[in-house]
Amino acid sequence: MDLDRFVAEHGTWMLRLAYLLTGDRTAAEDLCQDALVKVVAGQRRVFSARHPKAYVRRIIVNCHLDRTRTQQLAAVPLDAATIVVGDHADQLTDQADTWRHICQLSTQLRTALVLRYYEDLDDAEIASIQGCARSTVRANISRGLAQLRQSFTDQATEDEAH
Amino acid sequence: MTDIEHLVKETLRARATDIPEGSSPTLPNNFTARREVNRTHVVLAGAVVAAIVVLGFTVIDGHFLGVNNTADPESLVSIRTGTPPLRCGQHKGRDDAPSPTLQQLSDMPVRAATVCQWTNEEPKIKPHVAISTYFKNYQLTNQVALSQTQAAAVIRELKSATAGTPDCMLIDSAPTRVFSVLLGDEGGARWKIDIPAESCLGFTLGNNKRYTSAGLIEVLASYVTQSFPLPISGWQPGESAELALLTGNVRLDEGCLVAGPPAHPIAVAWPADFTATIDGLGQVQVSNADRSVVATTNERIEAGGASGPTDIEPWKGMTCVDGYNKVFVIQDTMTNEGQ
Repeated sequence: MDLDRFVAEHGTWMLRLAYLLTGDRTAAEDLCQDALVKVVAGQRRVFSARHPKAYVRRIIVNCHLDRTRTQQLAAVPLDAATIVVGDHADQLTDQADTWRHICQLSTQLRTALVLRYYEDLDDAEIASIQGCARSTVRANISRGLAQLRQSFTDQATEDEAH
Repeated sequence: MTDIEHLVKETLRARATDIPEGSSPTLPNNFTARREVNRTHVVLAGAVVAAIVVLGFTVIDGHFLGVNNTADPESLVSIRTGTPPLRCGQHKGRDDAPSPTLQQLSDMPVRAATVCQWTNEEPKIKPHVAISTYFKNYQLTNQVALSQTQAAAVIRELKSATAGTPDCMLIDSAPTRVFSVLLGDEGGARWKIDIPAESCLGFTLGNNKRYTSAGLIEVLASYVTQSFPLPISGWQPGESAELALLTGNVRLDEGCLVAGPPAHPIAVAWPADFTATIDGLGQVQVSNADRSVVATTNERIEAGGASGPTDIEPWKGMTCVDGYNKVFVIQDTMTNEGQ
């Protein structure tokens, strides 16, 4: 497999992962470009590996963490227009709220949640990617979920006040 | 799975479809161009790699393993020093093992190295146990060979990262002899750098309270005393000699024994039959024809001779002379009587 073929086959996955990590399409595109530069630098090893996708996932996540270390990305507010009203309005609104709250989490916590609940990785895999202990991963996920719950609670309180 | 977990999962999957199926990231321009002009591709890719090399070595948050375009791409993103700052503490080694000084560390020779990626499976390590215990918890998962230059860069990074950290201590961890540096904040121990040698000496920069949850880089350095090549002038006792005087310390500069201030190093050419050895701590000892030690790194010497430019014969092209602006040619037996 070469770079072109990999991007053709997994480009959507790359962009989606980057999008969930950054919460922004333009930032996702930038992140993918950063990652691709690094993939190219080591493409022989990447594409001869048993799981090139795992390599690239790691590169994307680490690029993201590196970027946010140096430039604190602002939380991306949810565009109100994306809240769709319809038969599944409640569910969609829940998702919209959840997404907004996820975007407000710290980079570490959001990354852990994305890797767990979107990429379906276990503690050890996430720990390996994020360069931390498994206990840290568990703590991050737990804290992320707790913060989300708190955000919902705060939101409900605010809604009632209005 | 709890409700909130389910909601997160559903939300992420739903939001991912904001990126339509069939979307692809745009390839960086340099790599798009290569499809059309192969030669351009080589140049551009080389430039990118070179840029990564330069950045990797100079940026404080550099991924110094990423300098190697054949290196494991994971290493591009997984090893770094400087951010967050190292946390250091003391890790006790054997009481009878001498601790090297910072100066000795700074002069440590690095000839080759391998970077090994390893995992630490929930280590149950207690402070003050032998370092070898740590290895039992490590599982090697990958390794990348480093060139001498890269290995030296790794050492430079480690030194730089630990410089100015008063709590950092260099502790001999014999008999397993490793050089360890804690990296990262909450990271698990994942990386090891070692330098194969017949016997090794190393040091530990550690935190005996947080070893189990900290990342490590371990460096094994050669502790074998070896011969050290010297630039030889061919001057022999009894031949005419100039009267310039060289005074001051000699020191290692990128593997060469030089004199003068760091900003203006002066190459030194030694008389015929002078020899030198280097030990694992980077200490070089120069012996005269009688096998008496006449110079040691970072110790003061006085020697007579002459200085001159290096861009003329026989200095042109001579290792450890060519490349410096000046060379001091020692024309002195450097015996005790002569000093």
